Order: sequence, then structure tokens, then C-alpha cells
Amino acid sequence: MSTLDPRALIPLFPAAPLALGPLPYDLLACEPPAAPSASFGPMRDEEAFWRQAQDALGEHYVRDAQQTFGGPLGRMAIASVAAEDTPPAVAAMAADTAPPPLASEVVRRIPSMLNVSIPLDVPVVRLMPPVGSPVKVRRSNGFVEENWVLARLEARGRCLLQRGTYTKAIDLLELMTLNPELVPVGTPVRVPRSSGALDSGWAVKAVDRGLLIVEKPGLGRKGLTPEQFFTANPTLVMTDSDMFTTSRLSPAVGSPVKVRRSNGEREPGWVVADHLVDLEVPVRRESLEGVLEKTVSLEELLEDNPLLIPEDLPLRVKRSNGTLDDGWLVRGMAGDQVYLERPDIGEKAASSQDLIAWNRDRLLNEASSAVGPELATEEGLAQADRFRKWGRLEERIVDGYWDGAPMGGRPAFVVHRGQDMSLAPGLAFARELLGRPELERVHRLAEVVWQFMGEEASGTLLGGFGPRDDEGVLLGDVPRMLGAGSNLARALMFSVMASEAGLRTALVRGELVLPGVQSGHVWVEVRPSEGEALLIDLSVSPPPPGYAFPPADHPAIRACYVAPGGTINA
Amino acid sequence: MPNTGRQTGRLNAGDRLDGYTVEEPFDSGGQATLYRVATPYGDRALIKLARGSAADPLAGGTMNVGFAVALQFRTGVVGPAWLTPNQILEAEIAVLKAGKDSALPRVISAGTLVDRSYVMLEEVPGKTLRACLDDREPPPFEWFLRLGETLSRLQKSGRLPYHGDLKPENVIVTPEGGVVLIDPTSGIPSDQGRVTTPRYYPLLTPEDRPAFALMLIEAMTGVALIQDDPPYPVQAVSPVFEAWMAGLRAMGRERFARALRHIPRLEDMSLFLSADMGRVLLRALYLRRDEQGLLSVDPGYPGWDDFLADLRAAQEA
Repeated sequence: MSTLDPRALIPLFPAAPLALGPLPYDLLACEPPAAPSASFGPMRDEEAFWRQAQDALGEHYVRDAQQTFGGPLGRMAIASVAAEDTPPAVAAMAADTAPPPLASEVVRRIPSMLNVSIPLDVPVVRLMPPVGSPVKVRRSNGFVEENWVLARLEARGRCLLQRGTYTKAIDLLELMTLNPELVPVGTPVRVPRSSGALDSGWAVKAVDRGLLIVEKPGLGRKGLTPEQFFTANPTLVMTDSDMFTTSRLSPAVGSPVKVRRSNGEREPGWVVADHLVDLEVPVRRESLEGVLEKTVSLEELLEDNPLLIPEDLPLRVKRSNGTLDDGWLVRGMAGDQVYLERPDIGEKAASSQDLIAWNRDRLLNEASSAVGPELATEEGLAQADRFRKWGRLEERIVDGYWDGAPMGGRPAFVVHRGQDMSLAPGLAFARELLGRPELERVHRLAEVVWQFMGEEASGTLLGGFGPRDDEGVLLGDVPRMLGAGSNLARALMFSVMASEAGLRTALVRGELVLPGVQSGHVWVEVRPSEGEALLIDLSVSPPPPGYAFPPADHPAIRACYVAPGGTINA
Repeated sequence: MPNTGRQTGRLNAGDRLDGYTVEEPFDSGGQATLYRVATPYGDRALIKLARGSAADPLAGGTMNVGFAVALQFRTGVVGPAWLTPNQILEAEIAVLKAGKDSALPRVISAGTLVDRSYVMLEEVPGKTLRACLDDREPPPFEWFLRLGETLSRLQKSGRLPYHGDLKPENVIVTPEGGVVLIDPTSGIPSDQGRVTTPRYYPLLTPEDRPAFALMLIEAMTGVALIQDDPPYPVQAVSPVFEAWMAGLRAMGRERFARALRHIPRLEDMSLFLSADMGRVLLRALYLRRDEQGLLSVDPGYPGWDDFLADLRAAQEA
């Protein structure tokens, strides 16, 4: 029998698992089609999404365009504003800090786990020449060849070029040096003076006979060779790896600082001479004897000059119970102590050394380095092995859990609550949820994980380069190091946080089966004390409205999510 | 005295290998270079020589170029596979040696030149389907049915469970109207990755029917549908399609599959493509038009037989 009859009942999925009628899971699709037509009935839109979310959770959901979550892949933040009769948080906070209203913390805590960009005197612009641009390429014999086309920008500043059926990959710096005309007119740049110092406030005016013509209003024009130009403006062609090794906190050039002498004294009268390179800051001091120049490490400079920390950079501060509290801002100094303020709590004092220790990832960007296998524990390795073997983990994930890929292809995901400074605020938030209804805990944690890990699960990484396969990435560093969390990282993070929030969960490794394709997949099942188990897959974007997840045992869901070991025990 | 090539691992005109003399480089791709060779007695063959021993995931180029790329699949992530050109060629040699079918080129010899694998293959007369399409001389519909039957036969016999990189560049149309398949990649162990061309395998799955359908559409309409910048605008799609895409995104396979969202009503692309034929080809791509005309998802064909039967029926209708 031909199957061409459009009226024939075609078993799309065995019970149409992703379209479950009244269940919220069929509302996965809230993005309106690009070509809406009245004849196709009402299309879903963002407003409808929010209305549904509001109905689903019984709360007033608002969109907050000021906040972003999930790093570069982030979407508009969801600010959950609690209803007036929402009970206060019952989780204990430090005795010296009054607990803030829980509901308003969803948006405040999470952004602080993410990137904070610090404005420099010259904006950090990385050139992104348009794909399709005709470019010149230097061949291995030294000749410059024309008629190549920029086909794609790869990770770490690699550019894929194409000419006919030939392809070639070169660095962005090499490409731009050979093709200065790709630098957009108007790009703000620094220009070297005859003294060697760099002068800001210039902008690219034109490219003429291989020279980049730059102009500063009121001062005039200059012509720079591409080599001079990019030496003075390395951030224009900075690669991702450079970004990782360079702190986002770069003290402004000209800032007066104290510099530690060899006898340990802090000497005033120095100024920051240039932007930092590899976490080293050039400083200089003019005296009667002449000009003294040296470089000091950013860590040392911040220890001695904590007021260099921008006042709008939220920092973590240790509570008396040992956990880290986020969202504190530097307000001033008194002696050796740094005064910090959190408007909803009050003031605190801390030494600059402690402050740096609690915030190394933000101030020195150290958290973005991969971790070694020494963090793995025997118990953690055994647990990961059991999960790989049985596809199911219902116990609490231990510190030192090291989930690597035996055949390579990705770094290991590492759970270590003590070392994972970026995860700490999330864990504290989860503990604060302990007194809440179970379903609300599920929704809140899902919201936090989804927003923290990025809107879209990391997917096709063609040409991407990251940590080595034998290295590990702490869960809290996943968005920064890998761009976004895969389904495994998301499920792991949810599971770890859910344990802190007192939820009973199972981490499940199985297959996601869809028409035409099936693939290994990891998700979480939550068994509330009352009601049926829920299936939580935070890699599907967008998430169900209101984070209302489908029942794990629904036959249609089971047809999609094929688990090896059945469902979580009742 | 001509070089033997054994010192450098490269071949130049005049080099001798296994009794054959290199005449000229013939073609090159991301992973191997082809040379024409001949014996003094007039026997002709081709040598396929792996390009170096180091893996280069960028060698495959881009989807627009249409080269094969080496991919590795992990839960939720698709990334570059660090397969070396030697590994890829050796997997192909294994498939061709085991194949022993008139639809696959015969292996004359295989070995290693310094650190590079090579295989000497019989030279197949004819030209590639790509050359036919470029010359605007696409083979007739019956030839495509023959190609489908060949793939079906090879799959059933176990000689080629799937090709893995079916595309016009890898199908030779012989002067007699026969089919020869070159560059199969199904010999690569699945845990080591997969070499495929996303332009013809947008779901990145080891299944040839979508590639077959895309080639047939290209032959009948002159348009390659799966591109980074698709030639047709985004279509109105059903919620199920959106859910499918969300699932593919979660699997890490949406990057190339998103071009499926642009596939128009196929019968609108060419007067020679009927609505029935359009439905069959869409179904081979796991797509269908629902009752409201929205682009939706279909469970697809379970095997070649149903697909070929529907193709014949649609052609005769």
C-alpha cells in the first residue's frame, strides 16, 4: 500500500511524544514561525508564553531586559517577582546577615556567576570580518595570492578560507595584516607615539596603499603599517585563548597606585603605564632621578590597591558559616580593610587578600582554567563508572565525581563543591529553597540551571577547540569554558543542586529517539513525595512554560526518552 | 632513473609503485590525493594516497564547499573527530575489499608509502554525477532508481550497510548507464566518529536515503537545498517540527538540520516534479506537509523497498 495518501494516519512518533495535548510539554515551541499566516490559526508568541508561565506557576512573571544570563548565549532574564503572600525563605543564612527575600534573588545571584565586562579606555573590539569577503593569502612559497574568500570564522581566531575547492585555515592576525581593508572605518584604536607610549582616542579613517590611516579629532591623521597597527591594538585580533589568559579587569592607564618595594613597603607615586598583558601590569614613576618602570602582577597590585576593583563589580564574601555570599560591592578602604556593601544586607569589611581569594575567577580569571585529574576521588570515579555502566544514578553525587568520555571527544565534567567557586552561589541558593514546596524547588532550580548554562545546549562544535579530553571542567565553569552546557552538564548541575535542595532525583543516561535520529542523552528524573515522577531535560530549548515538566512515565515521553533501567522508584 | 617515491611519501609523475607508473595528479580532497597511473602494457588505474598522517578536522572545509567532514558524537555534542587521513583511507579500503561488487571499484593493491596509506583502484569509466549536473546533463529518473536499487542490494547483502558519504561527487555514472559508488565511509567504527558531508546528511545520521532524496531533488530542479544560506525562505512549520528541532538542538545536530526549515513545497520548484513525487522525497527527509500546509515531521521510510516502491508509483502517476 502506498503511504502517500496525506489522509492516512501516519504514526509520527509512537504516540506523538512531543505533542502531548494539554500537557505543557507540547508547548516546547514558543517561537513564532517566521512566516505567520492568519489561515494557520493563532501563532504562539512571547506574550502568550509569559501568560502561560504565569498561569502555570501562579506567580507574576516579568521580563527583565536589563539582565542577561548564560554568557554569550544568554537570553532575556526571567525575573520572578513573588506574590505578596509568598512565605519568606527558611534556610538559615549567616547570623550576621539578614536573609534577603528569596524570590528576588533569582535574578541577582545568577548574573554574578557570569562575565562582567569592565570598560577600558579603548573598547575591546575583536574584528569579525564578514564571511564572504574576498581576501589575499600568503602561500608557503611567500607569494601573496588573491581571489580567496573568507568562508568561516573558527574558534580561537582561526579563519577558514576557500578558493574553488581548496580550503585553508590561517590566524585572524595573519589575515588582517594581509588584508587591512577589512578593518572597519571608525574602529576606535590606540596609536603609538614617537616616545613609544600608546595614545587613545584615534579611529580608523581609511586604508590607503596598504597603510591604515587613523585620525584623532583636533590632532590630525597618521598612517600606520598593519604591523604597527596590530602591535598597538592586539585586542582587535585577540583569540579566544588570549581572552582566557587575560583578566577582564584591566586597571585604567594613568591610575595612581602603590607599588610594593623589595623591602615590603608600599610606595605611592606610581601610575599604571599601560594595559595589562598576561596578568602583568606595567607601572611607572617619575622622580628627580628619572623615570622608573617595572611590571607587577595584577594580584599583587590588587592586594595593595583594592580600590582598583570597579565599584560595580559584584564580589563574593565569606559568611560566618563558611559559605560565600554574592553581590557585594567595594565601597571604600579603612586601613588595610576593604569595606563592601550589599544594599539589602549592609556593610562588611575584609582584607584585600581574602577578597582576592574568594573571587579569583572574577578578578584574576583563574576559574576558567581546566582542572586536572587530581581532583577526582576514588569514590567519584567509581560513581561515574556506575553511571556509565548502569545508566542510572540515584545517590547524591560526591565531590571528586569525574565524568569523562572514555573515547575522548570532550573534557570530563567535574563535581567538586569545595573547589567550584562559580557553583557555590547556586548551591547556597538551592539550600535556601529547602522549606519550599517540592514543585517550586524543581521549577526554581530548573530556571537557574537553564539560565546559567545558556539558552541552547552546546551542540555542533565543528572546528571548536577547548580543554583537552584528559582535562576536567568544573560544573560552574562550563558556560565560560565551553560556551554552554551540554545535556550532561545541565543534568549534572541540576542533580547536584537538587540534592542540596532536598529533592529525590535520578540522573539517567539513555537515548533520545526522534524521527530520523537517535542519540545518547542524559536527563534527570525527580520523584516528589506526592505525585508522579517528572522528567527534566534542560537541554531542550526553550524549556516548558513555567518549567512545568512532563511526567516521566507517560508512554509518549518514554517513547522519546528511552532509559535503560526503568523509572525512578516510587 | 625515475624516483620510486618511497623516500618522500609523495608521488610525482614518473614515480613507480607496484608496477605502475604515475602519470599525473588527478584530483585531491581534504583527506587524500588521487593520481592516474598506468603499466607499460597499457593497464590503467588510480592511486588514492592519504594526505599526511596528522588529523586535520578543518581539511573537510565547510558545508558550502560540500566536502566531507570528520565528526565525533558524544551525548549532546557533535564535534570534530581527530581521525587521521590514514585511518579514513584504511577504513575505506576495508569496505572496498570486503565489498567485491560491480557497484564498488575493485582494489588492485594497497599499502603504505613511508607513513601514508594508499590504495590502487581500478579506473572506472564514466563521469561523476556532479560532472553530469554541472554539464546540465542529469541522468534520467530510471538511473536514480537503479542507484537506489544498488544501495538497497548492497545493504541487504551486508556488503555496504550504508555508504555514509553519498553525494554527486561520489557516484559515477558509467557510459552504459550503470552506477559505481566511490569513497564509502561506513567502515569507520562508530565510536571513532563519522565522515560525512552535512550538505547531504543534514541529520548527520548513518543513513543514505536523505542524501539520495537531496541528490534527486538537485538533479530534477538544479537546486541544492541544504546550504548555510538556503536558497528558499523559512517555511511556516508545525509545532511538531519545532519540537523536533528542539530535540535535534539538544542532541547537537541542529546546526545543519536547520536548513530543513527552508525546504519549500517541492512541486513548486520544478514543473517536472509532481506533488506525489514531492511527498515521497519529503518523506525520505523525515518531512511532510500537514493538513494545514505547514512543514511537519514524518517518521520516514523504514527501508529502501518502501521508498523505491513509492518513487516508482509517484513517477507512474
